[in-house]
Order: sequence, then C-alpha cells, then structure tokens
Amino acid sequence: MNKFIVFFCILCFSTPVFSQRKTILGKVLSKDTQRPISGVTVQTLNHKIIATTDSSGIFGINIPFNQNQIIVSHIGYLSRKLEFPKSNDKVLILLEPDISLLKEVLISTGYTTLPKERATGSFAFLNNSLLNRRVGTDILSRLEDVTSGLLFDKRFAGGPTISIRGQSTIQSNAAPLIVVDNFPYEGDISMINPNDIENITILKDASASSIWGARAGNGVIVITTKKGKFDQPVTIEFNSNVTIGSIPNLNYNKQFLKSSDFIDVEKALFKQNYYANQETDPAHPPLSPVIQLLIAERDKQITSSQAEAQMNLYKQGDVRKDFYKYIYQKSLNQQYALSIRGGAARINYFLSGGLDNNKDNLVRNGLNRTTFNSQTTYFPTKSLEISANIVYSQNTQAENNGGADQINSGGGRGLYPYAKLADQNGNPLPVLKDYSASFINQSNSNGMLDWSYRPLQELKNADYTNKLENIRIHTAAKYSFNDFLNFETRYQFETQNNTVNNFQNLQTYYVRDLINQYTFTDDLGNLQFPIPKGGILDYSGSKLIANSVRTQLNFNKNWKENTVSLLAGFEVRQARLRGAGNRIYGYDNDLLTSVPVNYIADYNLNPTGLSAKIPFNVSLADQLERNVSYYFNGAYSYKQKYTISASARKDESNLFGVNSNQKGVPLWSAGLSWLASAEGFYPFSTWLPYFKIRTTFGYSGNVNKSLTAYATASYAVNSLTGLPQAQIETPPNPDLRWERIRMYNLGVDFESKNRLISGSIDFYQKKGLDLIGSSPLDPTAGYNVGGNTNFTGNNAEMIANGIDLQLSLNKKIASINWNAQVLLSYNKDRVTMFKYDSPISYYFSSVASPMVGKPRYSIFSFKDAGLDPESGDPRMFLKGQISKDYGQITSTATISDLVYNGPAQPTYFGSFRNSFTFHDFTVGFNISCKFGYYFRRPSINYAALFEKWIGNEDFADRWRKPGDENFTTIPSMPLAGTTYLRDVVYSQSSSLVEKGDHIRLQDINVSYELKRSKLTWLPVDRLSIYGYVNNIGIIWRANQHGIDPDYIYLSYPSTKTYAIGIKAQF
Amino acid sequence: MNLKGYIVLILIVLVSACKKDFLEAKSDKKLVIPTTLQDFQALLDNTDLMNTNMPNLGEIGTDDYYLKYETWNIISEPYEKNAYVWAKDVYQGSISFIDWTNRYQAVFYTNNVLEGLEKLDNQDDSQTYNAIKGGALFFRAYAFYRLAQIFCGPYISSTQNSGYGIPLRLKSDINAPSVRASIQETYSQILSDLNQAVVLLPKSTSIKTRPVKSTANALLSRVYLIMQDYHNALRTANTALEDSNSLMDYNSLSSSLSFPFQRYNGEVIFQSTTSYARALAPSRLIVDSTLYRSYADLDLRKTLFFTSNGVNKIFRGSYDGSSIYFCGFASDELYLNKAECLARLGQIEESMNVLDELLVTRWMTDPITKKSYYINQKANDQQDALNIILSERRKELIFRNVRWSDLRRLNINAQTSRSIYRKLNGKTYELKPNSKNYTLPIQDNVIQFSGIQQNPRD
Repeated sequence: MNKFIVFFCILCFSTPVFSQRKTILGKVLSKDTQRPISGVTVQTLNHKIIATTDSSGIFGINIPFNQNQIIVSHIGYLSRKLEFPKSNDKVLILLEPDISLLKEVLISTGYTTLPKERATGSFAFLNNSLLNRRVGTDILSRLEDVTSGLLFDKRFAGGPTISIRGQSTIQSNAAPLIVVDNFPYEGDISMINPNDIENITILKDASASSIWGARAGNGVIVITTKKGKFDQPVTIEFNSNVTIGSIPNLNYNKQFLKSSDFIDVEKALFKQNYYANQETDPAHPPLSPVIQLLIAERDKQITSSQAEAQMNLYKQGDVRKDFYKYIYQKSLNQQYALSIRGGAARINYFLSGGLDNNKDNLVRNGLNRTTFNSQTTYFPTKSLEISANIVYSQNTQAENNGGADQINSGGGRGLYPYAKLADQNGNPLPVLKDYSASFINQSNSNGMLDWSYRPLQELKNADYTNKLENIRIHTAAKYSFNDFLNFETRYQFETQNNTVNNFQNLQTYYVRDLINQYTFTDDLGNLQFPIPKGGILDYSGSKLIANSVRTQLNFNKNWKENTVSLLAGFEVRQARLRGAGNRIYGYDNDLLTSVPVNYIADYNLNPTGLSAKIPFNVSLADQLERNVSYYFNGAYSYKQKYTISASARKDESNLFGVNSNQKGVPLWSAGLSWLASAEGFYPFSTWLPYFKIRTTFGYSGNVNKSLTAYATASYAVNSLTGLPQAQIETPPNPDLRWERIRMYNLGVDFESKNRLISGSIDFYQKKGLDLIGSSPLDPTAGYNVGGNTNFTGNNAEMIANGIDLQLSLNKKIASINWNAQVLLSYNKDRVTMFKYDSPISYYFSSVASPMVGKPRYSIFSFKDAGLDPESGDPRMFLKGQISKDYGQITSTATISDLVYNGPAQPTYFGSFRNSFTFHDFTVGFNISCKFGYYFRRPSINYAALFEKWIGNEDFADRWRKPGDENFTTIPSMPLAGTTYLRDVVYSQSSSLVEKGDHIRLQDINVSYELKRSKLTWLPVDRLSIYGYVNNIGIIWRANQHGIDPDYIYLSYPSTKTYAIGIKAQF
Repeated sequence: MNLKGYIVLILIVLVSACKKDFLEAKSDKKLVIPTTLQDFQALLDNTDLMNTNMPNLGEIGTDDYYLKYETWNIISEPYEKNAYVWAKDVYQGSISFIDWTNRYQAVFYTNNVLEGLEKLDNQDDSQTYNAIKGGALFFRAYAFYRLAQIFCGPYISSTQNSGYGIPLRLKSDINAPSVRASIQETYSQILSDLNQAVVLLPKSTSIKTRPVKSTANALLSRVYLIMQDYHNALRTANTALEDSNSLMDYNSLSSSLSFPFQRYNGEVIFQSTTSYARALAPSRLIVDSTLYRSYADLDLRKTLFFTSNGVNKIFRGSYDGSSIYFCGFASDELYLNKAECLARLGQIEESMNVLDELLVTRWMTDPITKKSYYINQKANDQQDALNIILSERRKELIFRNVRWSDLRRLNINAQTSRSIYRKLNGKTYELKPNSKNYTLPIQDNVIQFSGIQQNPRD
C-alpha cells in the first residue's frame, strides 16, 4: 500500500519533468584521499541548475534531457567539466586537489594572515610536512635547519637557545618571542604537542615583527595549531613512533684523568707533605683511598708491598665503567597522537589527544606528557564567527638522577677516578664524600647516623618529581559588517601549575648528613638530634595565570586594481605568577606526619664548628606583569605589483619603577615590495618568471624586566636574627630606557621556470640602540649584588650585518623526484659603543665582556710564548715581552695585551637538505655546517687537580723534560703551593683557542607511503611508515681534539637516536 | 555606528580610564623602593653586610699565631699567603677580595638610609627615626674605621696626619668619583658620625646586631685610643661602662664544650664577626707558643680559649661561640681601654684596680672556699703598669681583630714598639716598627677603576 502511494506521488509530481528532464545521481570523491567531498557545486553549463553534494558526497541533479554536460567545482579542487553517456545516469566523479591553491602560502603574524605574495617583510613559512620531518617530543627542535638565519646554540646546559638573525642585545632577554594562536605563550613550550601544530611562521625583520612591538626585537616565532575545515568529512589521523637513543659517550669528556695518572699525582703530592694539614684538620676533609694507603704505609700500619699491591688494583679502576652500568641507559621515547577533524557548512572541529612517554638517558629519569586539544569554529549567522579552543596538557618529569657530575666527593671536589659504585654483586658501595673515612667510622661508633655516601643507594632512594599542568582557553568572535570590514575580539585565559616534590627519606645522604651535622651531646652526655630522624620533604608550587584581551578592526577591500588591508586594535595582558615552597622535617611518607623543629636556636655544626640554625626553607613569590598595547598595520597593493606597508605600535607596561611617561615605547616600520616580473618590460620572464624585490625599515624593541629606574630592595629573613632584612638590588637609574633595534632589510624572491630553482636572498642590517649592558663599577661606589659590582644601564650599542639565503631545487630524474634545499646564513655583529672597559679577567669568561669593535660574543686570549724550556711553565707575551710572572700578567695586562681570536658564534652557517622520492618511497638527509668561529677548550688545571680532584686528559701529554716544549703546549706539573694563577694564565693562552668550524651529518629520514587510491585493500586512506636517525655525527671538524664545538661546555654531545613510526589517516 | 562600534568605543574609554592604576601595579611583591622607616631598618638589619665578614687582612699579619710552611705553602689565595709575610705585592691580580668591597657596600647602604631619612615627610615616630639614623651613622663609621686600620697609615697624634686616608663616600651616588681623604679627615669623619650616633642611638636593645649608645661609645673609645687621645678614650669607655659593665665569671663556663662561649653572651655589647680566611682557620693556625705560655695555669682563659688538636694549640674562645672570630664589642675590652687610659694619664693605682676587676673573673676560684686564686696586680711605675695592661690586653683580646691596630699604635712609641717575624722553610721575614707594610695596598681593580693613589710598600 505504502509503495503504491509513493509511486503515485512521484508519478504525479515528476510527470512534467519526466518528459523533458533526467536525474543524474552521482558521488564526488577526492582523487587524492578517495574520501567523499561534501558541499561540491554541481551545475549545468549555463549555471541555471545547481545542486550540492551531501556529507557522503552524493548529489542528484535534474537536467534537461538534451544536456549531457555538467560542471563540478569546489574550493580547493580543480573544476571539472563532465560529459557522460545517456544510458548511464550514475556517475563517480573524482576531483583533483588544486595544487596551485594549496601552494598559496598564508603567513600568520599572530594578528592577521596574509598571502606571502603581498608581504614586504622577511617571513619564513614552515609547513606541516617540513615540521614533521623530524621526530621528537618538543616543537622547537623541529625548527633547526629548516630556515636560514635561525641558529641553535647548544653550548650550555639547559637546552638549546634559539636566535634569529644573530644577537641584538648585550645581556637582556635574547630569546625570540613565541606566539601560539595569536597570543604570546606564557607557559612552558615543552607542553605543546607537536602533532597539534599546523604550521609555523618566523618573523625575521622589523616589518614582519614590528606588529609585536617591544617584544619583537629578537624575532618572533608564530605557531599555528591545527583546525577543522568547513565542509569536510570526518578525518581521523593516528601517529605513533618509538625513538631509541644510544648511551652517552662518557669518554668524550676530556675532564677526566685516568686512575694511574691520578694516583701518580697523589703520590707526588704526598711526598711534598701536601696532605699534612688535612690529616689534622678538625673539619675532617676526605682523604682519598690512595692517600689513606700512603698514610698507613708511612705510619707502618701496612708494608710497602701491601700498599703497592692495593694501589695497583686502584690503577686498574675506572669509575666510568660503573657510570655506564648503573647511571646511564639507552633512552626510549614513545609517542602516540590521535586526532579527529571535520566540518559541516557552518561548523568545524578538531579534537586531538597525545601521549608521550620518555625514558631518559639517565636511569630513573623520564617524562610523561598527556595533551588534549579541542578546537571549534561556528558561524551562528553568516556574518558572525565564533571559535573556541581548549588545550590541556600535563607533564610529569622524574628527576631522580643528576648524572655523573652529581656523584662527587663534596666541597666542590670531583670524584677520584678509581672509585667503585658497586661490588661484584651490584651492591652499592660507599664513596668518599665531605668527610674522611676515619671520621665516618668514629661517628658511626659514637651513635651518629651512618655518615657514608653510596651513590647507587642515593639513586634508588631519590624521589623527585616536577609536574606541570597547563590549560589554555581561547575564544574569539568575529563580526563582519560587510565583505570588507570586520571586527574581532579575542580572549585568552592561560594557567600553568607547577608542583615540585622532593622527598628525601632517612636513607638519603642529604638527610643523614644534615641530621648528623646538627647532632650534639647535651650536659648529661646524651646525643640530641635537633633535626628529627625522619625524611625531609621539600615541596613547592607555583601558579601562573595569564589573561589577554584583544579587540581589532580589520578592513580588506579590493577594487579595480587596488588592494587595501588595514587593521588596528588594542590589547591588554596580565600575567601573574604566584608560588610558595616549604620544607618539612621528620616527614613520614606513609603516615603523612612531620615533626616540628627549632628554627630559632643556634647549633654548632659537626665537625666544622660553624654556628647555624636549622635550614628554614620557605619561599614565596608573587609577580605581576601588565601590558597595554595599541597597534596599527596597513598595506596597499596596486595591480598586485606594488605593495607598501606600514606598522606602528605602542607598548606600555608596569615595569617596576619606570616613570609612567617612560613606560610606553612607540615603535614603527615601513616596507615596500615590487613584483618586477609582472612588468611588461621584465626581460627574463622565460627563465625567471617570478622575481620580487622587497625592502623594509623599522624599529622593534626588547624588554629587560630586571631593571628599574629607582633604587629597589628585596626582603628576606635574616638567618642570624630572624628579623626581616633588605638587600639593595638595583641602584637608582633615572635615565633607564627600553632597548630598541633598528633594522633594514632588502630581499628578493625568485622562481625559475617550472619551479626548478626557487628561493630568496635577504640582506639586513640590525642596529641595537640604547642596549642595556653591565659595566663594572669602582667597588668603592658600594653597589654590589651577590659579589657583582656591575652597574646595568643603557650604555651600549651594536650593529650586525647579515645575509640569509634560501634555495630550493625540484628536479625529476627518471621517476625519482629530487628535492634539495640549501640554507646559508651570514651574520657578523660588532659592539659599536660600550661605555666602560672591563678588568682583563672579564674577557676570558665563557661570555666575554663586550669590547668595542668586536662581536658581542668573542674569544680573547693571551699570546702564548711557548713553555719555559727549563721548567715547562706556561709563558705569555706581556707588553711584547715573554713573561711567566703570573701575578704581573693578571694584574697589569691591558687590552693591548689581548689577542682577539674571533667570534664565539658561527659567522657562516647553513644546511643542505635533500630528499629523493621514488613513487611512494622517500629518503632524505640533512647536512649542516658552521664556520667562522672559535672556542676555548678546557685543559689541565693543576690547582683544580690538587685541591678538587678534577683532572683532564691533557695531563698525559704534559711537559716532563727539557725539549718537550717542542712537542707540547701543556705545562708541567708544578710543585704544591704554586700559585693557581699559573693555571688561570694558562687557561687564557692562545694555545687553547680552537676553530669551531665543522660539518655534520645531522639526520637521515625515510618514509614509505601507502594510499588506498592505489591499493584498494588498504583499510585506511593513507598509511605511512617512517624512520628517522638523528645526531648522526660530525663529518669534518677543524679542531684536532675530537671536540664537538656545538657542545663545548657539556659533558657529552647529544646522543644518536633512531626512530620508527607509523602514521595513518582514515 | 552600530552596536559593535559602541562596544569598541566603550572598551577604549574604559581602558584609558583605568590604565593609570593598571600600570602602577607592582611587578614583584618582594621588591620595594625603600622609603619607609621599616625599609631603612631592614637595610641596616642586613647583618651579612653590616655585622659579619669584617676585614681580616690585618689580623692575618699579626704575631698571635704562626703557620707551618707546608700549611702556608698550599693556601690557594695569594693575598692570604702574601699578607702573612707582609709581601710587597699582596693580591697578585686576584680580585676575589671582599675586605674593601664589602665595607664600601655597607657605606652605600648607610648613605641610602641617611638620604632616605631626609626625604621622609612625617617623622612622627621620632624614637625609631633616631635609632635608625644613629644606626646608619654608626655603621658608616664602623666601616670607615675597619678600612682605616688596613688601608691608611697609622694616626700619629703629634703630626698633621696629612697622609692618604681612605675615600670618604658620604653620598649614595654611584657615579661620584672616589677620592682619598687625608688620615686626619678620615678620623674626623669617623668621630663626627659616632658623636652624632651616640646622641641618637637608644640606650638598650634586645637585638645585639643593632648598635646602642654604649656600642658607639665603645667604638669611640677604641678610635680615640688609636688616635692616642687618652682623655676622650677614657671618657667614652666610662660612658659605655655605665650601660654595659657586666662581666662573666669564667668559672661558670664549661671547658668540656667544643665552644665554651655562647653567642650574645653577657659581655657582648654588639655582635660582629670577621670574614673567613684560610690562614686563620683553626685547622691551620698555631697559637704563638710564648703567648700561650704567658697564660698562668690558674688563668681559666688557658683552657677556655685554647684546645689541642693533638699536636698544636688551637683557638676556640670566640665570643661568637663558633669557629668564626668575634670582632664586635664586649665589656671586657672597655675595662682594658679604661685601665690603659688611666695608666697613660698617670692614675696607676686606679688603672690596676680596673684591671683587677676584670681579671678576677678570668681566674679560677677555689671550689670549696669560693675564693679566687687571682692576686691583685701591683705596678711599680707608669711603664710597668702599661706593660702589665698591654700584656693582659693581648691575652684577653686575642683573635678579636684589635691586635693589628694595637701593633700599629704601639709602634709609634719606641718603648712599646717591636719587630715581628715569620719563619717559613728556613727563611725569616721581618716586619719592622712603623714599616710601610703596616698599610696594605688597595686591590688592583679599585686602583684601575678609580685612579686613586696606591699605598707604597717596602
């Protein structure tokens, strides 16, 4: 019955059509992904009859019977005109993505997006596939070697620092501003899941970055996260990988003296009575096992042959074997990421989750990260767009192992190289620390807690976690008044909680040592323990809350041959960081109990006799930063050939103590670009069809939060009296100004025929004005913070010139696609003004004092005059004369006695990245290089060896007898009591300065991609399997000592890692 | 203009209206611009700067102790090794030297406080205000006094004292050049600060790191003694004794404790300690044996001040109750100052009485009869009295950082002058009376920065 009614209805209504028209049913799929496309327009040639596809890509269209052609079009795809046989009314249509459209790069400044073609400034755009070339937990490391002008400095511990186009400040913050989805990111950048990142734009010159005003002086990195797209079916992506890292090479570290040499030194010093005072020292400093043997031998407690036999055993020892076995391990990083995205006509969404589980190179250290991201955009009406983004991430880091450096004998000493961490069965063995063995034995029998130190037991008992939790909520509303004017307002709330828990139980050395130090015998002869016998818990928490509001008016209009885009707005930001830390004694982790202690009383510490109170570790912090900014940005293009742009911004902040009228800093920039290849008279259009010239000029700024115009003081609690005390932190400086950076940029973009070669070259000059530098003051002036008598103010200027070159090559050789990218950067800076000369010793520190005419980071040395042929003492040239009067050299040398060796950071650097694609198989590698710089290598320091047990391999090649000075520059071993200035002067010798130049094979990546369009059996649309090997090694280096100049201040270079992963798309 | 436009306008107006307050907020709660009495008091309560780490470059050169060659040889700081043997070049380029910098840092603090006090509008809390002002003046004088003992020549009352003194920085301006005043100007400034402070400081305080009237008087007495102005030294010692005359009976102290004296004990007027020096560490120094032997066996100081490390006699009698040396003011010194002044002014019997008053508390009492074994001093003449007093002064104030000043002033008079010697590895060093080496050189970086005159050395 029902069927009949339906049939009747169709008959009735369709009869008129039936006679003249036909219905074509079809399905539209993307040729690329084989997924249905919704919202595709299907129309007749005369545009009179239009249909659209539904979410499963199906459409039906009624067209006149005599027509057999339709046009199928959709944004992002090439339109197709189709003809079909009359008999077949069901069609499957494959649309090919429009490559040219996808190639149009929209660069984001954090305030707006604009097509790269219309940009006058120097931007670098890093797309998703470039960012995913590397495998890793964090996002920033993926920026290495992908654009020119960007340098990673890995010399110092605590992770690499990034600089864009060299240094433009003396000592203020030198890090680029990092912007995530329109707002500066206040949290910890390691909290960002790289799988959530769509692309990154790097703003290099003044015009590109000046929209960020006072914080843009070091360049800006704009990170844009993934978002859903309208009219897209549900897409699920899954990515998982495993990275294995090799064990660090501990033998790389030259600061090690092998046991036999070390023991020889100890014997020599013993003969010179070096340890006599330490034997009777009431502080009972540790005497190494060999010294104990020598004392026992001297005191006839053992025979010489017994001592010799034991010593020969020690000579075989190498504590690094135990480090390899118990302290270090292979790292293992696992990463999982899942995302879902899709969209209908008025709403789109992106949801993702990520899990990272990292096992560190250091045993018992690791990281767990969970991230969740939700992003939705909704058009309630045609003119209103609302979007909301919520990101949650949690990061738990276990820091139980401080590495080999933390295993030492206390008091600034290193560890004797024949120490043993465990016996044959792996049981922890004690290692000398802080006190002598006899003192420890005696204290143990006196009823004190066991005072011995067992590094492996420490590692087992350590319980240190650092937990970060970050929530970011970003909402935006955009109202379009018409097609050229819209108004948007954004609000972001960001909070980050950081909790650090360090629980040290009674078995840990720190706790036992502290308890013992405060133990005393009362009048009745009983031992009293002012610090309770129990664990110690240190915990601290901090909470960052940042709120940002931005309102902005955008105007974008095209008419005839003119394009105008303008934006203006203002922004208010506040970030507040509050924290508190505390310590509790006698803590029981199971019962959650603690014991009060007497913080007021003074105790005489064992065994030093110094008077002290029980450490009262309460810390509180409350910092507030407020900013108000106004900005304007405009661009006008004529015929898409000529573009002028201008930008201005004023920043105001609550920087402490700066006068209100000086709080604000106005900054501006302007730019011009000319698409020469679009001119009729352009002569090279055959081989160079795209050629654009751009130039910009402008100012950006840099903030130094540590300074104020008034004298300031900070409060603390006095450890002697328990009363509040104040310390002067900054002297008054009424002339304090913000740093400004003036920058010119001239660049060209070009593309040869068929994009065989494309690229850009930029010349720039950066001038730092009103730079803040520290100049040492006459100590008599009395300004001194922490032993530092430097006065900090606007007293420096510097200039830097540079070139950024970027070249891409795309070539098809047979069926292999070769893609090569050459990046070359040149940057050379020099200090043009610095108001004070520093004492000579300041020029030898790892970051030398600025010197006018020389780069900010420079290497200076004394000219080496070779070793004294008589004694093997180091000698330098002082006022043109050979001198070994070390006191004289350190106290009377002037700048004219210094040799300037060269810059400490690369002048030229670059990379050569290649990838070869054969069908679905891709293999690539990256070679990077750094040239034109120097470093100072560490060598033997005899004072450190004698006093602190810190050796260096150079010892083996030292001067021993006359004639050796012809082969070696390493001084002889001096007698005990020789001034340490001999070592200081030697460490400043030109013989220890090395060229940093090197070339390294950074990484190799391979991937194989499977697509359902080719393999119909595939259960997913795309599946790619990839492998990645990182930190492969140095191919060539200028220095002869096997030193990796990228890691000169670290114990070992980054370890080689091997990653394998799969990525699937449904 | 539609609704959205109005919102923009309203927001802009709102922001401009509350912007001033918004940007006036403090960026770090811990940071303050010192403007209140509380802030100034907190600056003066910075004991690390004001009370501790007092210069010991002079003390290293005194004759109360010696070092064995192997101990001295491996001391890593050149200035300690060189100061020990009164070498011509002391620093050898070392700039990690705090005797000068820390004292001038204290001067900088006091100048900031004094200038801040002047700017205060309401001086309602005048007692507190006076105590802080007096404190700042005292601490400035105390720093100048410490520096003058090391870096400028001895004050000789019979001369013009026109030689180089120390730079007298009386303003906080860090850009003001440093200029060396004369010795006379240096001491006049110290006296003028102290005489003002005496009026302003409170009579007593429970916090012994803060100065009181008797602290300023005690320093005045010390300084007048150094200036050989015995009338004033006596007057100020007497004034100080009016408030602080209590003496501990050493019989009540236990020699079984590792440190028999307590910090802030009854004799302490003002707490201050010296900086750490390797040369002076109890683990290294050996007490001069003649000096040690000069303590009578019934003199309790022999057991309370000293102990043995198995081989040598080491010092443990610091009034700080620790291995750090006390160098503040205690009432025992006032008795000694008073006795010396009386003797020098010819009041021999009175001087001996004052000395007896002190020493009876240092000697053993018979546990049964409760009678002291101490026998009252008798002096035959003025010189004899002086010799007795100076000998007891050296024994009582050992390692109190007064010996260097005493050597300098006693050398002026031929009758009390003496050479002192060091023996190291067979080599003998001599410091002759009134040697230029009694004035230490100023560290190289200060000379480089300020261009002030360096002290000549032999």
